[in-house]
Amino acid sequence: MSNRFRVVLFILLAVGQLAVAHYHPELRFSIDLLYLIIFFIAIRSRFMPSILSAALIGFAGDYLSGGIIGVFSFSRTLAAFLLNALARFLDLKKSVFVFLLIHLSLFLSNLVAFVFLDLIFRYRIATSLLVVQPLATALAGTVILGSKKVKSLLDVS
Amino acid sequence: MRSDPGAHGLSTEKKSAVLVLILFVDLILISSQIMLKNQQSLLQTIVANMIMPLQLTFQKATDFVGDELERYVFQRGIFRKYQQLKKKHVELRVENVALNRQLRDLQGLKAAHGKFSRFLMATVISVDINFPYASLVIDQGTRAGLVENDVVLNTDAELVGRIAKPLTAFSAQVRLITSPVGGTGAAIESNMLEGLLKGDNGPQCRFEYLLANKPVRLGDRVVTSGTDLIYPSLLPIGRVTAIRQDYLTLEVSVRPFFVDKPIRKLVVLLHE
Repeated sequence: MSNRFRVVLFILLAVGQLAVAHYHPELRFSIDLLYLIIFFIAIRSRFMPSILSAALIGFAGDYLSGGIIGVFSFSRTLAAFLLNALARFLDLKKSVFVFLLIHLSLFLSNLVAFVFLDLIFRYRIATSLLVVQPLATALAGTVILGSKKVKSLLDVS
Repeated sequence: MRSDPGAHGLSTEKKSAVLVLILFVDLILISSQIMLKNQQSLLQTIVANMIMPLQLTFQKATDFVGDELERYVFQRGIFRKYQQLKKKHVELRVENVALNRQLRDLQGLKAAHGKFSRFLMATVISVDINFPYASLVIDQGTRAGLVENDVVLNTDAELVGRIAKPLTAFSAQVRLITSPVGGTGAAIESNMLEGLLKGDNGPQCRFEYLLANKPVRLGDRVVTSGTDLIYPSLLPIGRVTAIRQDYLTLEVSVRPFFVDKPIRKLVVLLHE
């Protein structure tokens, strides 16, 4: 049951990000629902599934953002590695830790992507990538993970 | 009970090796795209083929729901729309008769019928947001008979661009005439002064190699000349918006018609 719920949640997050990319392309750097899928996998799964899923979901994020293929794959793989290492040490029952973990990890991941996108390819998207996206995504993740039902089905309660 | 990620399975060395391998592959991908600039890389084509069905399915599903709602739920204004369509139909028939007469005089009608007896409608499913005047993607591909360099018009029969790679079974990229890649053989309609129209990723194109031996006025219509052997002649492109006289040549800016109109449906002329 929890596996089925997880799959449904991931599909909903992916469809949500597709909808944002299709109907509001100007907001595609303001929130990253695909990152929440990486977060949910990384805090719960082992090393290999976390890293591989982050790399593949990062490719999808690269394609939807219309940018260079490989940049977000690179940065999200690093983020998944960090989350996988840190998750066992944090009490994810508390929403504040969830918010901080998503915000900081996404900020660091986007900082790495920003190095490629701005310094090498001259794309100007600093504010959305470094300020708005981590905040909006962390809020969305905290809200989703806030309910007891979701926590129990994702095995973080 | 929460599982403990990473506690079992691979050793630290193997984990590091896997991580480094994945990051190295990503760096190779990124560096290959720096070198290839305007060309599409193989990886983008593969990822496009993987992601495109999702986008197409999403597009078709939303179109279907929207059409069904429009057809069965939102009936307001339907009689007014019918009257408008009837009036437009009559106007188009009159225009068609006038154009046929002109084409007959130029002895072009038979050639046009022979070359473009087939066309199909396509829907735009995505636009390159970073370079909106360079390319876009439509929902028709090789399965519908599209090949590279097929001409693409808007619903007012004005030139938009041509089919370019990547070209999959159910989707194709359209390179717009405002793209800096390639060019369009064009001519001023009033005096048939020919040159090469090049885009610069903006809403205006510029004429190159245009000799200043004939007068050009602001507002003059620009059409295709047919000399590039890609676009047929006399297709409307746009209007002259700026002229600067050099010693022997003219610097002319042209604003394509399609730039000021919403692009949702396009017409692809299929080669026989």
